[in-house]
Amino acid sequence: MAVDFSHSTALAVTMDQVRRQGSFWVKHRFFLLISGAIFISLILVIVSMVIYSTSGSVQLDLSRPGYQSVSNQVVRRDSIESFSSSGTMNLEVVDSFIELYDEQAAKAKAVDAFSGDPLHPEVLEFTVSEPAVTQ
Amino acid sequence: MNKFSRLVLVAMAVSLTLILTVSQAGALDRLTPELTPEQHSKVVSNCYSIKTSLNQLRASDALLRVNRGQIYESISGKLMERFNYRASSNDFDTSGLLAMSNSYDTRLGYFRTHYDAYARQLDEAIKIDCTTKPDEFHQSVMLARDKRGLVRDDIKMLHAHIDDYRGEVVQIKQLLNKLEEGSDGR
Repeated sequence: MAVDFSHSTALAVTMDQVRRQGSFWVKHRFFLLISGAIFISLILVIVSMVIYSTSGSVQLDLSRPGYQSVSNQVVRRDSIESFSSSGTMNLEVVDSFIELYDEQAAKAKAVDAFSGDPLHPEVLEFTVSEPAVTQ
Repeated sequence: MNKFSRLVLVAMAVSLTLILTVSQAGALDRLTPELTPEQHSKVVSNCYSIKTSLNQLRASDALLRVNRGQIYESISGKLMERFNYRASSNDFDTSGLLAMSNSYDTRLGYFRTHYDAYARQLDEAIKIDCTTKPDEFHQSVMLARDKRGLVRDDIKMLHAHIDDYRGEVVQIKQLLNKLEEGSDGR
């Protein structure tokens, strides 16, 4: 009686292939781990740079090149005294609030920020000055 | 290609698209050149000094944005919001206070957005080589000038809202005065 071994032979070949493939991943697992980590970190860096740029944080970052001259002038400590959001409301409380508020309002208005027109063509010397007329 | 690889590719494509959109956004706003030949040569000859002025302005405005911004944020978060809450929890009519503080917060949002647009425009102008592209440079600087004007308007409005809010607080003070006078008279 003849026994058909073709089925079991094919199965053995497939198992061998699987074993070889498995051994490839096993052999290179350290390389794959490193390259995977680099790839993921690259993606995260790109995403964070996009957020940094689009959120406007980049405009507040004075540690960038070109801003060193002013970075030491940043007020790092917020000296404002908080007003308590709980408690009774009487004249004394309102007066103390107004005092705090006026102090901060004066700070806010102390510098006439963004006033003037430093980008005016005349200021930037875009315009051609007329030659002096001699009589 | 498995599911993860496809996901990573999509993420990369989205990131690249965002980067390109941000970098090209300002380029779409450019106007037609309007420099006269004299102005043209003036820009080219003064290119270095103009760029130096723009760089100094960029740094000083950034400092203003950071320092002023801190104060404006504090007025909203540490004073207005807290006073509103306290007045409300003591059963005072806070509709006027809320309206003023909401207007202030909205304007503060405009200030952030407008400053961001201005700073980006100024950055773009500084990047342009004014010796080879004076027209483009001029247009870019004029756009930055317009955007700086919006920031200036926001600052004026913020100061007006600060005064308006104080007016509302004074009204509450007057109400308290009347209440105390009434209780004394009894």
